[in-house]
Amino acid sequence: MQKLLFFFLLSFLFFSCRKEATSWYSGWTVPMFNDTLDLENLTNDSTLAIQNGFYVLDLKRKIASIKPSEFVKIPDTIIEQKFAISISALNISPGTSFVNNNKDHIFDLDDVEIKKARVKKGKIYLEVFNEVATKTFFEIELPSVTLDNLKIKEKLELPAGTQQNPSSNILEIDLSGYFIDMTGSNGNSFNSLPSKLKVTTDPNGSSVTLTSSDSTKFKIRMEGIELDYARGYFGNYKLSDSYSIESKFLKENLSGTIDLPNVHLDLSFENGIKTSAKANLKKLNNINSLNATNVLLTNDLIGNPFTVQTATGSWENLVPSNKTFVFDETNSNLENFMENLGEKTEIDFDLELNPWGNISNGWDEFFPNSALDVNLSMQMPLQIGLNNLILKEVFTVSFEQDFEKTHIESGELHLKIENAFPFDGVLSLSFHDKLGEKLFSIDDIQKIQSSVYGNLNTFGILSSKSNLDIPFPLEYIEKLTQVANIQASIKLNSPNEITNVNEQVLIPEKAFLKLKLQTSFKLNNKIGE
Amino acid sequence: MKKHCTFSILHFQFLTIVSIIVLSFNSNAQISLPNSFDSIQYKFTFNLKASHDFQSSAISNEFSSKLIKGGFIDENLINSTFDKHKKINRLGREFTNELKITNSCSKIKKWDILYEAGYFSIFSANYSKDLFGLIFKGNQDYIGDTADFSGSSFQYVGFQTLGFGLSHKKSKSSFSLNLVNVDNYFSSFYPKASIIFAADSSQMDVDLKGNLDRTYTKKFDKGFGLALNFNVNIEVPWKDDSKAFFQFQVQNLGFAKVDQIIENKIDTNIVYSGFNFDNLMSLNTNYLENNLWQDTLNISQDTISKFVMLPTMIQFGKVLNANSSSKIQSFFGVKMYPTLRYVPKIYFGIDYLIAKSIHLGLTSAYGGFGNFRVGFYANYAASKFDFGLGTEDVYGCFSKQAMGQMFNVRMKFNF
Repeated sequence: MQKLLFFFLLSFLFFSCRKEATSWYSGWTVPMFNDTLDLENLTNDSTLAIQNGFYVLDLKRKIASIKPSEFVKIPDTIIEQKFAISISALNISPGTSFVNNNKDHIFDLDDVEIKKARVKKGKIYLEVFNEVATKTFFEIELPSVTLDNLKIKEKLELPAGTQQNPSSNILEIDLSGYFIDMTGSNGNSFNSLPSKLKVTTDPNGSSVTLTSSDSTKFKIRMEGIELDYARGYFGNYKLSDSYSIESKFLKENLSGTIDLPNVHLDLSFENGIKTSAKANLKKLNNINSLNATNVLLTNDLIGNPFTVQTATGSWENLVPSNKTFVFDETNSNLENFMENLGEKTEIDFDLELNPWGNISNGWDEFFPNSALDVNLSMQMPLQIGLNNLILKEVFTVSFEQDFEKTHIESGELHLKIENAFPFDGVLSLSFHDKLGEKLFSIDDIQKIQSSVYGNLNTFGILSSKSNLDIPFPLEYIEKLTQVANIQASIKLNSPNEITNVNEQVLIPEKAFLKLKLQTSFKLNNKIGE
Repeated sequence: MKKHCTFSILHFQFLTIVSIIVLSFNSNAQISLPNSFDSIQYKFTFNLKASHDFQSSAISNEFSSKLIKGGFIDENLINSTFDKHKKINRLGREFTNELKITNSCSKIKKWDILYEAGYFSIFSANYSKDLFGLIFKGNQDYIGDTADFSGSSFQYVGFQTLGFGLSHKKSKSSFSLNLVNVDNYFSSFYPKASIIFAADSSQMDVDLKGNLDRTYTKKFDKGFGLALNFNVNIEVPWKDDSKAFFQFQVQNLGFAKVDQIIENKIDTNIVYSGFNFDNLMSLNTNYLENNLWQDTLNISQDTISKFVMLPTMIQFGKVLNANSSSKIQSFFGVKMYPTLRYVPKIYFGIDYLIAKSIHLGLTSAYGGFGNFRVGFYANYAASKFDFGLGTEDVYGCFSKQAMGQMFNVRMKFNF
């Protein structure tokens, strides 16, 4: 019996032991990426245009804009007036006006002299305080602040107050749309705001005794005033600026050369302010730090100050003046400037308003749409020659795989491409660890064929189809967990379909790059360990 | 006949050791070791049964052995197993251990008290050939084709029972009420499931509707319930003025409330052809870490409690007469699990009394989780001690090509 028991126990232990994991291989093919790229995907809509069935670059950028409201403005201001009788005591009967004051309040606006203005937005607060021992009435008038020719005139009622505890009242008025005549009471001044104040005791109240220490206070507070119209002298305003166009893509991702066709670069100064101005285009510099080459744009106009005429007309009929520089290969080195492929382009310029002082005799004017703009525009057919132009992009990645569990053992990427651009390309992939050490690279990938070798497609343009197989054997898969980034680069050329020599090629309308990426992989399935 | 009601410590130690051994066995009790009707009344009976039955309609022992015990499943084995599959296939595993003690030392005249304990671990699957193909071969054979696994279902429940009841002294019919503890539960059903793989591998059209419920805690007591067991023995006249006994048996008729189930539901029909640039730009850590991709696939997840039916076993058939003097007896019947994807199993067997107290038997069965099987058993059945070993699948004991294995052991003491 004991032997039988021992046999059963042994059998149990034998069948209960799991010695290793269950594993098997399975094969999978799955799509990973599917999209079509065209030039509309890569650029904003104001950059490209179509001419005669081919793309042209139509670049328009505003590189500076001076709004006159930025320097012709009324700052936040508090004007305070305090009234008291000059004798020690005075008994007044009910209904007596004991303050009747007209005053021009002057704003300090440096050398700016505003005669008339319209408020775009902002508020004025009228605040009054009463220390007299009877009810008082304040009549406040701002005769030069009008809306539809109606001036501001308000009446405030205050209860009796004391020196220790004066009664008060406040009135808030939204000044949006109000005109302000700032020529003062005499009509010949500037930066002036006239006011009228009349204070009367309650006609139905009792007689009171005023002392010299009883005061009546009046406060005008202006906040957040922005103007959209002004007339006067806007002062001497100088701006020295540097506008730079930087491309991280060009800095980090590009090497090689391109060959561009005739390029036109326009730089215009457009003055919508009715004031004289002077400008100086000091420097245009294309900086390629990768090749350590700077190319300065050369032209006789660069570095010589010039006058920008005043605008004409008014309000809706305002006509800005325009001064445009046209740079092309006949008057400058623009082609070299562009083909330098610098990641940074700097444009340095000076602007000055009223360089010769108040020659308008106080008739500078700006309107709601007034601005002094500096605009850049460039037009060029997208006829580009590429010579081993290398585009690079680095992708940060993280692959996590436990080889003790179900994992990918080997695989292959299948890239199916339909290329309707007249460029060919050779792709290479380089895999790096987090210290930047190259772990492995895949360089022998088939070429992406240029469309010039292809056939007409349904859009009526040429396209070529390429199938690229990128193997990932086990030795690469084993290193994938160490990969921190992948550097993908593509070397581009623009070959002639007969001579195979790179030449300038036009990019046809509707050119596209259709990409389908699939992966086939061998999965090592593991369970039970 | 009267028997003594003595049950010593020595008896207990012996029975404990034997129980451990028997419970470590595997197979399917009632068919390969047929039930018998014993009209003798004992003061105390100790009945221990254990079985392990693995059965499939398409998976060979060589394959299942590697799947369960470990090892590398090579391509040839996968392909040959795949070829054996029909459109819809079944797979199941029953692991049961039961202890029944009857004690007549009570003041109840016509009834013995019945104590029961058991452990049941039952897995069943109903799956398509394509599902097997996808899991073990991958999708490359389905390029330009459809992998359809609609109707696939998987169920597993592991539970323990402990209960008591009454057993009629004369007819040996019995009933008992059992408390149930569920230690593991899993259920998955896909009424609609297919993937169409485009011929150029550029697209996958996934149409999937189904649910997956599973317990996720490490607690032993994941659910609690009640189950009823009963069997009714019916005496019928048989040929040559002899008697035959038929038995109607129901086991684990009940339910359990299982807590902390993660319920996943999916109802999606998507065409996937790879990501595009916009997808990649919007693909961020939040999307992956917070499982927002589940919203895209219309997958919902909840934590629920639910009542689950236990895998109730119903069996009806002719059993052996333990007191018969015939050399040869037949037994036959049908066994079913109505709550599982289990084809009602029809069985037939011949018992031969080869020497005093020694029985040998041959069985045949069709249905269950697989197909046709031939079994064999040997049983020593004395008045105080009964011990039997058997299998329902002789071929499965020896052949790697067989599609199942079944072992069964039974031990009974009468005092």
